[in-house]
Formats: sequence, structure tokens, C-alpha cells
Amino acid sequence: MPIIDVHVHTDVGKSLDDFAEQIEIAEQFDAVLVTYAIRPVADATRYSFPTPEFCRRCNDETYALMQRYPARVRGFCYVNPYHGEAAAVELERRLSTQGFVGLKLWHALPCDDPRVDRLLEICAAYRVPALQHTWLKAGGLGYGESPPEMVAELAQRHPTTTVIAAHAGGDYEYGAKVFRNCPNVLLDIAGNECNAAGVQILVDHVGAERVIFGTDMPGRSFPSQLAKVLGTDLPETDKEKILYENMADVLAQCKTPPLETRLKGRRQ
Amino acid sequence: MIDSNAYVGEWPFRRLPYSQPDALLRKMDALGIERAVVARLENVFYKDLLVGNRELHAIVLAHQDRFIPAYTINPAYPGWDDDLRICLDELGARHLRLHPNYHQYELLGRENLRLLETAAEHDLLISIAIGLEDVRHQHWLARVPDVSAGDIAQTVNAFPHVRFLVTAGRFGEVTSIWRSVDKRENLYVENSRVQGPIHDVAKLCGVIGPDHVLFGSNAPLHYHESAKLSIETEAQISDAYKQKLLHGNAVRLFQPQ
Repeated sequence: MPIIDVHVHTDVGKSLDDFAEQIEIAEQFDAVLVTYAIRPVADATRYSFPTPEFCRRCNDETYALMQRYPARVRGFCYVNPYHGEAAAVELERRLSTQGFVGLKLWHALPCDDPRVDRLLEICAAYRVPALQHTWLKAGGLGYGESPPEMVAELAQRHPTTTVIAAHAGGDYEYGAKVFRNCPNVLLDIAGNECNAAGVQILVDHVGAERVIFGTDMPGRSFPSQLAKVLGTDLPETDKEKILYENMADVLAQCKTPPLETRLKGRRQ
Repeated sequence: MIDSNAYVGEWPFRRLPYSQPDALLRKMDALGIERAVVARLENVFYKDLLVGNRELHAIVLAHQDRFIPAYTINPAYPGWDDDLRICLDELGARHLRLHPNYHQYELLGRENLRLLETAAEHDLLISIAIGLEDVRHQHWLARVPDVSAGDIAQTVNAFPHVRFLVTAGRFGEVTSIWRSVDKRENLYVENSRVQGPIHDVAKLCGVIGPDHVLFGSNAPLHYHESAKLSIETEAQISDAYKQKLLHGNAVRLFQPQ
């Protein structure tokens, strides 16, 4: 069963060459890695509030990996919405000329900021998804983090944009309830522990068609995240949707220059 | 394959599949897990742990070829030493499970020192559960931090002749404990909550060595598949290492009949 992993970070090791370790895992599991940099490999710090130049360096490295591993890597463009037009220009350039297939938003600004709306309009124009970090925690949200409800409101303001709620909102039971009535929100299961019944709960509330696989590598291991799906009693057809088909459908709709045709070829 | 860390019973905050013995056994059968070390999950919250321990004993008696018991003791609660004597004399305990965070005591507090002295006297295996679930997702009525890795390391150092199994620790926690312990021959860890970074099992073997790492699921709170797949699909360790983690080390530690 082929897999699309929608949540992979590039910041492993000391150089982009170290990403080869993740490519080996992708080969082992026949996975395509949807990848984004939130810090260049040479920088020790993941800045919560990056400058435009910092984001450009991140995206340059993502693009380098897309070129180096065209069969295994897709890129999402990372920007800080605070920078307004500069962020919009950066996103549009990466989508229109370099084959990026989505937007990654982390926690520079909560996603109820109007500057986020401009970015989602661009995503709608190119029919690419916007992945918004969101993680409800028992101890409270971190700096700039968007709670699941705020992501749901963002999706409701942009009904023609596919919004990916990262980590399914953090707490799967909570996220399942919040996103239940948001048809344009996909829930990515990356990053959490492999809790029994977690993915089952998501499917029970939003359906297998809106749950997508992700790992959060390199912080999380691929097998521990894959086990969230394989450990369920869901039918094989649902597992295939979560692991591959749902995200393949999203990527197939992208109006950005294709880097190569591996995914397209699979679907023909 | 032997699962070194599982539970039977219900969890108050979430409906769990495989919580009851028959369901757990079906899951084990499906995955080729011959035996599992089990503790009573309700004993995380019960006051009178002897109730849960007697229930566990009955469950294990009914499936002696599949389950290996780990009886839970709370040295912060009155009568724990009587409970321990009953576990030893009547239930045949060889393995005790401790939850210092949920039961709210210090590992090096006076009562637990007495418990560990008894463990040394009877050659009991002591398993210490670092945590049971990701603290970020805990229920608002039960926010329980993980047990401090430093406290566990001090405890292991204080009782070098006691065999310790550290359960449900994350990668950073178990490697920190290992590095902080002077005499490590009696210290073991399992991989149920070691769910990263990439190649975590190979990295564990690199730090700890292949003879002190065991396959553990933390079922029914976590899926067995996480720990099992993490070992079986690890490309950077040999098949001989995998066999040790999945089976050989557990045979040596638990000596199942």
C-alpha cells in the first residue's frame, strides 16, 4: 500500500545530505514525503517569528530537496503571515514557478489574523492546501498557537480552500468534535503518541475521507505513526484512504507546475 | 514474542479496545505475541490495590500460558506491607509495578525504601512506570507529570542488586536514566512510548545495547503495533538484535514457566 506522509520536517542533522535518512525510510515504506522547512539546517533555532529572509532560506532548502528527490518529496511553502504582502509574494512565487504544492503555517500568528486570509485566497487560486499547526494542550497553548476552533473558523471563511488541521488538533477527541462539521478540513494525524482508538475516533466523527496520514519526522518515527492506522479495526479501504488516497486526491487537483509524474502515474 | 508491559482493565477517561482479557488475547494472537506481562489498569486509580491484584491473579490463573503478572503496590497507602506479603505468599508475586506519580510518593521516600529493601530480599523485579500517556492530552481531573528520570536513576543507583524495568518512558527519558546509572546490569527499558526520533530503536540499542531493551506495548492505552513495528522494521539493527528485543531479553528477565 503506497503512503503519502503529509507532515515531514527537513531539520534533521547538520546538512541537507542528512535528509537521505528520511528518504531511505520513504523507500522502505513506499512513501511520498510532503516536506517543509521551519528552520534552515544550518540554524540551531526554530524561530517562532521568522523574518521573510529566514522563510526564503527555509523554502530554498525545501526546493533543493524537491529537486534532489523528485519521486519522494513534495514541498509546502513556509511563511510568516505577519509580513503581509512579502509573505504573499513568497507563496505565490513558490507555487507558480517551483512546483510547491501547499502552504505551511506554524505559530507566528494565530490564524484569525486577516493577513492569513490573503494567503488562503492564493491557495484557493492554485487549488493547494493550507496546513495550519494547531495543538490543544492540557497546559495551555504556546506562543501564537491557533486553537482548533480558530482553524475551523478559518476553514469556514475559506470554503473553497482545503485546510489541513495539523496533528488533528492535538487532542484527537477534541479535534474530532471541533472539525466534525467542517467539510473542507482534513485532519492530519502526525506527531501524537500512538494512542489506541485515536484514529478510530477521528473516523467515527469526520469519516475516513477526511483523515490523512502524517508522521512529524524526524521528531517522531515512521513506524509509530503508521501503527496508528494499522492498529485500528478499520476496513482496508478506509486505511488506504487515510494513508494515500485522500491526500493523493488533493495533490492531483493542484494547479502548480508538476515536478514529475509519480503520483499522477499511480492514479492512471 | 513477549510483551514486557501491558495492562488489563479499563481507563476512566477513554473507551479502550483490547482492555479486557479476551480482547487482549485476540489482539496478541493476531500479532503473534505469545505472552504478555500484565498489571491491573484499575490499580492506577484504586485505593485498595489488593482488590485489583486479586482480580489480576484470577485473570492470570485463567491464562497462565499467556499472561505474566505484575502486581501493583502503593507504598504511600496504609497496609501496603500487608498487601505485599499477601502478594508474595498467596499470589506468588515475582514482579511489582510502581506508579510513583499517580500514587504521589517519592521513589526515595521512607516507605518506598522499605519496599525496595523487601524487593532485594526476595529478588523481585521492580517495574517503574514513568507515565502512561502524553501529559499534553491528559484529562483535566488527572494531570499527572511523568516520573522524574533523575529520581529513577538515583533509585536504581541506590539498589544495584534489584532488577528494574523502566516502562513507558520516552526516548530522552530512558536514555537519560541509562546514562545516569552507575551499575547497569540490572536495568532494563521497554519501547512502548519510545515513538521517535527516527531510527529510535537503533539509537536505543546504540546507547543502551541490545541486551537491556525489550519490546513493550503499554496496551491497551497504546496500540501494540507501534512498538512491534518499530523493532521489526528497523533497518539499522540486525535480526539477532531484533530477536533479543522481541523475545530473548524478556525470557531472561521474566523467566516465564
